Amino acid sequence: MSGHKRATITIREDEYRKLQEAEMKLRAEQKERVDQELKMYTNGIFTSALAEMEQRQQYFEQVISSLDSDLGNLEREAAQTLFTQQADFYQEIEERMNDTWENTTQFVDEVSQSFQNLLEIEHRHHQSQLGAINQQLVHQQENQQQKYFLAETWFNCAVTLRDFIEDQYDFNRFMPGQTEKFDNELTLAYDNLQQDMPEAAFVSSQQVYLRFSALRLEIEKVMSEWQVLFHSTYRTARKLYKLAKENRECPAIDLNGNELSFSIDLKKWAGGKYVTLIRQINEINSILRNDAHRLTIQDLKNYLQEVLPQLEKELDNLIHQARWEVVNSQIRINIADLALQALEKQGFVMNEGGYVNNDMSKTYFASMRNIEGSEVVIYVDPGRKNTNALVIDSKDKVPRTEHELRKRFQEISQTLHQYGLKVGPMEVESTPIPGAVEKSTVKQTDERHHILYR
Amino acid sequence: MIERINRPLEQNRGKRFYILHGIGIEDLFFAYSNSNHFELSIENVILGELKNQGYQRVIFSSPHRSVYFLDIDSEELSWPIKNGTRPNDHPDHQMQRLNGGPLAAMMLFKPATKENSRTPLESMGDVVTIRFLDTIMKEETIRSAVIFLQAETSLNLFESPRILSGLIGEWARLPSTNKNSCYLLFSAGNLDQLTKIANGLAVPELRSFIMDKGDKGGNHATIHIGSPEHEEINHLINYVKETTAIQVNPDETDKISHWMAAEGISARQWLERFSSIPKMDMETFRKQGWIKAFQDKDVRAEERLNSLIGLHEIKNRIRELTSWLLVTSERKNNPKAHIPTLHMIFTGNPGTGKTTVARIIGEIFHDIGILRKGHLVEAKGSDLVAEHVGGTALKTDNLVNQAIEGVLFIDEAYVLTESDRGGFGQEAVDTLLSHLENDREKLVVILAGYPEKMRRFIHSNPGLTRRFPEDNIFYFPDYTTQELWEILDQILRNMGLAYTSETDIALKKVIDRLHILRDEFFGNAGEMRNLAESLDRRRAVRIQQKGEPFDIPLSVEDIPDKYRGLLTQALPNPDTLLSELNGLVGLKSVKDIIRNLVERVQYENLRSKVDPDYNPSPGLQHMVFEGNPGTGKTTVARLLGKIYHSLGLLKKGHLVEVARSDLVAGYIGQSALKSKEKIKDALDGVLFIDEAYSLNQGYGSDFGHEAIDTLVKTMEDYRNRLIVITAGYPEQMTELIASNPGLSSRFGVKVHFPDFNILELGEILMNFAQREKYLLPPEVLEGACQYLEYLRQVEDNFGNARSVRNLFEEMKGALAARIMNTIMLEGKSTPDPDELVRFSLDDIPILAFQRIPVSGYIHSCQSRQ
Repeated sequence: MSGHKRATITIREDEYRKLQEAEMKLRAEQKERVDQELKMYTNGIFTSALAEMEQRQQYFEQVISSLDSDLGNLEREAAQTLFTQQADFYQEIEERMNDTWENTTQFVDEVSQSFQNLLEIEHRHHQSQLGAINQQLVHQQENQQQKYFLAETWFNCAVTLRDFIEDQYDFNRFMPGQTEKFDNELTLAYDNLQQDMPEAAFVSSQQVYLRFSALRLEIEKVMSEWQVLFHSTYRTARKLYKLAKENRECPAIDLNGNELSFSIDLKKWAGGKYVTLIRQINEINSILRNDAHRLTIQDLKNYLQEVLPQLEKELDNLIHQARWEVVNSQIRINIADLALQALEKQGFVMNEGGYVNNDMSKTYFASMRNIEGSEVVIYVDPGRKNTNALVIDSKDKVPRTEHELRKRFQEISQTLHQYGLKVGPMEVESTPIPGAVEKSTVKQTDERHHILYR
Repeated sequence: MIERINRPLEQNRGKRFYILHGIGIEDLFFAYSNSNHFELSIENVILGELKNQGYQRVIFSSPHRSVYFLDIDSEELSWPIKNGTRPNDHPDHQMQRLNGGPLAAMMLFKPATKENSRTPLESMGDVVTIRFLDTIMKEETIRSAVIFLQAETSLNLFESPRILSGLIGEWARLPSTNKNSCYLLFSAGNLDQLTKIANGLAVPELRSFIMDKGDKGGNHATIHIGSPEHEEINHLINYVKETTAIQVNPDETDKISHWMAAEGISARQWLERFSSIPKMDMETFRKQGWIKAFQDKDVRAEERLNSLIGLHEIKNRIRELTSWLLVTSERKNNPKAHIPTLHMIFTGNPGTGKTTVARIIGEIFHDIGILRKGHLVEAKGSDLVAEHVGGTALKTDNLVNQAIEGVLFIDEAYVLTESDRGGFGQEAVDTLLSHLENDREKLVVILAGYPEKMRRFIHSNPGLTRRFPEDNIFYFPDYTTQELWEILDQILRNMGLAYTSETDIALKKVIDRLHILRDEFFGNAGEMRNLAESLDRRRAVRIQQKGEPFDIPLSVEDIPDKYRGLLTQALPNPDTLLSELNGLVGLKSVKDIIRNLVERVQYENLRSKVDPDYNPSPGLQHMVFEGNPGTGKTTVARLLGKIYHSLGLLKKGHLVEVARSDLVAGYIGQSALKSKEKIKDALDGVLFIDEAYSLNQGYGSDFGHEAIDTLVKTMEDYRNRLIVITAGYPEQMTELIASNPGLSSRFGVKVHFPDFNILELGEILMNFAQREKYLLPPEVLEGACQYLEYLRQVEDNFGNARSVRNLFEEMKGALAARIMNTIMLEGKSTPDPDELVRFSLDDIPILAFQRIPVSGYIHSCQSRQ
């Protein structure tokens, strides 16, 4: 008669689902909490950006004021409008960031688009104002010299603006190659001046000035966008880091998803995956902290839309997986405990037991003896998803009938069933289970764990 | 130590199986220790006893608790690894046995239902339990006892009877080196119930053990646990005193405990009774009617014995016995002291005090210390016998068990050897014999019955003879008339009935007559009791009907009719009867013989009166009456019976006439029965067997000899109460007597009845005629004589006086016809009165036709008139 009996024990599907949902809810709550904690960070994150911009505008006004006064007034007005619009932009972004952290890029795009729209309106207005000034100046030209003077003025303004842009903006980062495009036109305007073609010089100087003006606005906009994206990314990365750090030891949960006082060491239960994840998050944070100036908007968008969400998902999975591993491991020892209780009713007493190789993610085994000298070893193997396999290896001193062996198994099944566990049909194994010890070696307790896992 | 448990277990040490039953199994037990009286369950008691006997490990099993222990040592020796925790010692959210999971000892699952708080061993399944116990039983290093409580339930409802039966069978075959034992406690109150349970058990070994009762040795013992004994009852009483508000009279405690012990009911029942009383004293017990075992509790047994009427010899012997036992009981502490045999035989007729003395003996033995209880259990012999095989032994055992430490009184024990018991009587005797021997230190058996029957019964089995020695046979004679009178007087006084002096005289006369007429069925004291009750009843009727005062004394008219008839009866006068004998026609030689017999009896009576030490010869002798039919044999036999009655030799003196067909049946055994019946009818009178020689005749299947053998035996048994007279033709009678040696020695008197001569025949005819007031003229008489002579010559079996009787009847018929024809022919309405009764020659049958001259005879006949 075979002494090996196996059956699959399943947690009920609805219980498993309940566990999953509860676990997700816990994580969501945690994220929300972290969000709340990070609110402080978002407050005033754009203050310095605004301050920088204001400084630039003031300098621009100084620079332009040294040129034509009308032009200077116009530029001043435009600069103030731009400043105001940027401030509003930052504020809205900030507010949106505080309210929700989801779809950061989306609302950045939304807000950015509206800013862009405003900018374009302002730009057209600026352009038309510039055009009016120009007309006025043109009507005032009577001779060549006056024309030359006007052209030279426009040329100087264009050069000044170009120098300002070069000086104040990292256009190679934000709009690379844009100034070179206009430099040719500037050269052309200079050539026209040198070749005493004031009208041509005037036109080309005016054009290039307008282009540089628009470029300046554009750069300001792009810089604003970058700021927003950067801060979003940074915040997201910070949040992820915080989550990862906090969940290094996350609370275990029971089958109802209630948090327990036990902590799960993710490093232990997720293995190397957690370490890898933490490293990745750290790297990103470091880049954002130390090498932000190298990051383009695209880079930021990539972090924000792809990299960081993926990492967050991985973290979620790790936590979920670890919690489930812990629950399952506990289920295995619970099953073993119930099986022991059932076997005690058959006169057996526990001899020894434990997880194989002391690894709680592995099989739990327990050996029992009775007064007769018979021995029963039970194994609870981890299975897929919500299942475990119970194996009973009977080594009776006096041969038992098949009926008795079945009865023994039935008593265990009954006990498990009383606790809500679903026990599958019993299978008789003609050969010992994989990894199980041979009969003769069961008694050698020292070698047991060793032998079990060849 | 609880005696009722300790003693039987001690006495039966060394067995493999112990089958315990009785009312004690479900009882409570009481003991004393550390200045406290306390109550114990049977488990605790048995545990204590077994531990004292050296068992290291005692394990219990009951229907709802598979395996459990009452002491730590036994538990520790049984558990392979010590694990003392029970399930449910830990809260629901924790595992019961394991720890060390990632969530420590946390249990993630909740049970649907909470189990009873039982240890794992208590919850084991049946098969696992028996295997566990099997391991215990087979392990020789630790001496163990396995106790099954409510064994009938456990064994009958076992999940796998096959495994159970197999393993228990193996236990029965364990080697002698194995000192383990199995105790099975059954709720059956007696062996009868236990047997019924056994019949349903699926374990053949246990079944046969129970049926066996351990009588045949072997490795099992069947033990009856009865009611508490004196010491335990003392503890019970003290326990009640300590734990309830019931007042207990300390001066009466010892006596009360003796009474209670004798009643034989359980401690539990006593406790229940006590819940209804405020105090415990003798008065309360009497009022409640709780004491039945002892009759009069205030008077010592010896005093009660002395106060019995008559029975002087009995009393003396009992006093001697008591004295001897007192000395013997002093030696009882010496284990080598001889334990006397105390079983007794009481013989005597009914109502002679046998049961009363048996009861007193029980009490005396209890007072001496021979018996712990001294109660009396009464039974009849038929109470021991069942209708089926094995049932008799059980019934007998049950009765014996009830009587342990007391007296078992079996009346009519001899019925057990009667053949109509179907052989089961022998089973009862065998069972009784074993108890007589095995239980002789705690049981006294008294067998009672008629003397002769008891004597035969005892001698039918050597075992009985040995156990009932001659010294222990007590004969209870019938009470004398004086004693009977004292008994009646006592009864009447106890009933508060006074009587007049006239009634006094009449009652004494009645008693006198009763005494004379008594047979073996005479009730003695019982008869007096019946008489007293009848008197009382009639007095009551008189009071009611006549409005007499309630305290009116008994009067003669209160004597019932059946007793009053005795007042007018007087013994007939022997001379009168002898005159009647002399008045018979002829039979001179017969009369001489009878007269001589009478004179002989009278002589013996006279001599006895003069010399009280003279042992008179037996007056009754059986006789053979030889003679042809109609020669007066029956008539003389009848007269002889009356004569002997008048002489006081026969109490009744009646005649029972029987023929062969009354004694012989068609198949074996029945002739004896038939014969006994008739003989019984004839006791104290005369059994007249006509044509007795016919008993000796017959063919292969005839059982006449059986009847003869019965007759011979009876003649010996009842030689003082019966005369047997066999009658018949001389030659055949001689042959009959010679056919059986027993007959020839018993029939001491042979009387020949010659044929009547013609004159005597005529005289007989004349007597018939005169008796019926017919007129028989001389010529008719002569003619009749002639006819009779004619008949004697022509008939082979001439009937003598019978033939005369027949002739007389024929003549009467002829006369009637003649007269009626004459009346019809002559037209007379009333004939002449003389003519009406006068015979004529025409009335004589043959002479009417032949007209033979009849001179000579007539003169002879007339001269005799």
